Amino acid sequence: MTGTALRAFREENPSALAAIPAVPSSATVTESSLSGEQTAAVPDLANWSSSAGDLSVNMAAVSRIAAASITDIESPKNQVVAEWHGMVTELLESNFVAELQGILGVGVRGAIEEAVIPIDEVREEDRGLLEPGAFFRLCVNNAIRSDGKTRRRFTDVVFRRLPAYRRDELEEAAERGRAIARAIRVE
Amino acid sequence: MKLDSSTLSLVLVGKFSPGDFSIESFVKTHSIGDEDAAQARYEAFVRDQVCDIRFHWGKFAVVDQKLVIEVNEAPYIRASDLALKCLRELSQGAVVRQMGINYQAFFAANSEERDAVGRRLVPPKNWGMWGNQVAESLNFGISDPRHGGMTAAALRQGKPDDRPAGHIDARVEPANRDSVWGVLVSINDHYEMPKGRDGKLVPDRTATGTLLDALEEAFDKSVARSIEIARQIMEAT
Repeated sequence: MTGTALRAFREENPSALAAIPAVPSSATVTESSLSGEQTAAVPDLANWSSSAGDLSVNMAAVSRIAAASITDIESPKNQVVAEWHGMVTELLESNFVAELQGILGVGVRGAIEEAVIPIDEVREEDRGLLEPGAFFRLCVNNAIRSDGKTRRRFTDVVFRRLPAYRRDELEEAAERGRAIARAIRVE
Repeated sequence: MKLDSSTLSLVLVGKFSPGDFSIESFVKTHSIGDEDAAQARYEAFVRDQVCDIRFHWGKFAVVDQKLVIEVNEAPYIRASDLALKCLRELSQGAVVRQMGINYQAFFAANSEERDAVGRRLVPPKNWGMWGNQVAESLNFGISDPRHGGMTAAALRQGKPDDRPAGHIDARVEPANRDSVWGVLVSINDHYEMPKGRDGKLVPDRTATGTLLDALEEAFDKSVARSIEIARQIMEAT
């Protein structure tokens, strides 16, 4: 994927998300999404307690999760055609600029792009994460009908929620704190 | 055959405190957004025993020895990010000894296509006289109880170079999803900490730090590799 493809897409789709590269319609790397979520009964938390009367229910839940495997198959809704790793580099009035690196998709993986993305594309709940240096994923998806045919193509911008601290960083900070505390002399 | 659906499951095995996790604690640590929180629901919640939360994109479940995050829609990196957020901020006493980055793809396939996959991956003729009988049985209709064929095929790659210990398993089997028949391909990308030279387990902190670092660094590569493995297994048919 080159900048040329991105520019061409922007020219053809001036009102669309500028970051969407021209993903080949024949792309074969596809992913899907959850739709047929299992509908097991939701426990009424207000009625749950640690009493012996609930033990059988509790242990059933524990057993079910302990045995969790990858064998459950969920129904599809969306299939990802391409996925990009993005980093915000600049905030504009109604857009932001980002560096994109292709993660999944034919002709996309490994490609590097710069894109201008409308802030409107960012979910309301992620707006607070929008700042230079923030990481996000941009996915181009196909919505799939129940008969298996593609309904429409759409993009999804999801900002990443990464840990603020690393475990070793915290431990090092704690050790530094202990050293400082030991050095303090109270007279 | 066309890919019908796929799922990514991150499974961590070790020692966890289910009581550290709740929708509220996720919100407090900004592990999930407000919209996710509003839509989240408890499938099961028993303090200090089990926490099982469903999101519109998948699920989070933890008991004392296992933590599972399943993602059913892109981006799959949600699983890695939430796990790191949980174990580096929310529950720093957790211990991780093993990790599986598991990808599962379901390809819709009719009986002829399923049999073709079986013949290619597990040729009946390689199973002697009995195998020949099984090969003959493929001529019976799929609804005929005499119809046989592959029930599962699995292959393991021994310890890849990118981890201290572990393996990559691939398993192919006929499956039925929502009354649709097809072929299920499951990739188990398994990481673990080997015992030290003295035969003892390495310290909890070392094992956990090593595996979480591996998760952070290897997740995208693992997913891309698993998708490619599944694609190539099915493409040859």
